[in-house]
Amino acid sequence: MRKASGTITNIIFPLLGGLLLFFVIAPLAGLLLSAGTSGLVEAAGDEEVRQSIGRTLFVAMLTTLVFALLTIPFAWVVARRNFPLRRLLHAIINIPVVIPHSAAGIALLSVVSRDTALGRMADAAGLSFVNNTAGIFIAMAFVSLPYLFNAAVDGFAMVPVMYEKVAQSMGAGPFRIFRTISLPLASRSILSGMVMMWGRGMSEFGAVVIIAYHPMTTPVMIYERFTSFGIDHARPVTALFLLICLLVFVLLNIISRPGKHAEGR
Amino acid sequence: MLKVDNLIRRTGDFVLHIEHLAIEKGSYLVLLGPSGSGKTMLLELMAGLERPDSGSIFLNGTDILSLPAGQRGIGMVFQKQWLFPHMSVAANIAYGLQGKGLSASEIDKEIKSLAQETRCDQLLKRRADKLSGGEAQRVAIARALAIRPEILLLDEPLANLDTPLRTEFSSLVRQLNRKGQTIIHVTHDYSEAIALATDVAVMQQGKIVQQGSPREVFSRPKNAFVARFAGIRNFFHGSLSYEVSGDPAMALFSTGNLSILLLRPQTESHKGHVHIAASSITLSTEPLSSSAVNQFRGEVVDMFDTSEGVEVVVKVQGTPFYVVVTRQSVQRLQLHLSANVYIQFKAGAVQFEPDAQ
Repeated sequence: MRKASGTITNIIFPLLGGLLLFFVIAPLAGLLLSAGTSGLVEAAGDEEVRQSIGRTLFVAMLTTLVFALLTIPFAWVVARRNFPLRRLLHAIINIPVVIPHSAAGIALLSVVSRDTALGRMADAAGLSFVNNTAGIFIAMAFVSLPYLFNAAVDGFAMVPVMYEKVAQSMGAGPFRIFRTISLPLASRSILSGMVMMWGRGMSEFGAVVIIAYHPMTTPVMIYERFTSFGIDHARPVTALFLLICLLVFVLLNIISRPGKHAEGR
Repeated sequence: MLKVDNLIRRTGDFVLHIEHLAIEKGSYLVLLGPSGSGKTMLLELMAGLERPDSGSIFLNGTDILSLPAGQRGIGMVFQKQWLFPHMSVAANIAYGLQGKGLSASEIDKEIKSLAQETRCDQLLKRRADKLSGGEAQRVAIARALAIRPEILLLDEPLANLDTPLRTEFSSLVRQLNRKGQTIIHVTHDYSEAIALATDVAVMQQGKIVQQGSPREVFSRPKNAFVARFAGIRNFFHGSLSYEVSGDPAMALFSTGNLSILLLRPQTESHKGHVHIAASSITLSTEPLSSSAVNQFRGEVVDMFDTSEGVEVVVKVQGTPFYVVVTRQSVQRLQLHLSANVYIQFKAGAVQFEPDAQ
């Protein structure tokens, strides 16, 4: 009986894991191999592709940084304070995870298009969301902020309240406690959440394509080249974007690994 | 001087109610009680980490309840230290000094002085999460002292330390107290109270049931609960009769089916309890003719090793007596479970305490 149990955990489980890894790696490896070095060089030489990749990475990064300022303090409030409708607010922020992203694009468009009050006000201030980088920014933020929010709430919740009580007993006020204790101790989760938000933002297609087809982000460009010219034209840009995303993703994961707490002094 | 009056804090079914507690400057008060008796809650109320429902806490005549934590002149060391793991030892100690208008060099000087005082000057550059239990406890003390508290609160400070570290830490806090630091120390271990306290308060279910000097509390426990905490096992409730034929200096105490002779106490009360130190009771296999006026026949129902010898539980007419004997005596008397034995103790070994009116 024990031998059979050992066979299941020592052989069957790793085998299942292998199948899972194959399922993820095979299409990615297939893509890179079929694009080949010449395809990657060709895509890298294309000015339009370079601009699109740069725009995608930059806007996703900007979205992450700007929304981190809104998300992290609120995540602390949700993790640390008990107030009415706390669970409801938590659920509302997670809505973008469960709705189709094209629907998210339509929803955003119905708030910021030029037919709406907000859209007209933004237009008057010289800011247009439709077919503009600002539109890409809000579309990416809308669909990706739950990833940072959830990671930050979990991170703050995992910090033992006693650290904050100790700081309080030494005369620290709530903001100093947040800045010097809660935030550094939750930083690993928060950085992981930021990496996830950034990754999710730059891969967004559904919401972006509806609100800002132009200027093109790379996912939109891949779709455009596929529908207009076929898979052979879409493949090199896809492979190049994938490679860059993987590199940045690995780099950010290294930066946000354990033990990188900020010093409090 | 710290004075606590009518302090009430309710959480769920638990009510902490401290009618009165006064701590003189320079004293070392040990709050003794089991887990869940409200000791830590009382400390947190004093430190300002919790708010009471009602009552007052005065420190040197100032009502500190309206002051935020950290401005009350009270520092606290928590049971598990809770050193900030992402900071160095020096940064942990500096935490309470920052934001007080001190220059960087003044803070550094203060850190060094505190580290020296608490014997952790070799640890300043180490990360707080890389310290041993004893080191972490010393750093926690230095950190709490950084705000120069009038009163230092210690919540079960010895609970996570092994014996050599407990001795070392006890010596450190005793030294701080000798230098004039007022300390309130929470524990469930009465040996800590005996070793350190100038005053003891015993807590039970959110109330202080007895307070005084360790000698007063441990030699005259007011109830079975305090007696148990003081390590007194032979504690019997009953009634006293003063009519003992032929001897006006004696009295008779009845508990269950037993009657115990004792020296006539200076009280008119009849209801109360007696306690007898386990070390005052002798044990034999045959009846003895000695000066001990109390001699009973009983049966050994339990025996176990203790640091002082072997504790033998002898049941006399349904009442258990705890007797401490040496291991040699156990062998010499061939003691075993169910053995029939005799216990003897003098009338002077029996202490009577009347019930509170």
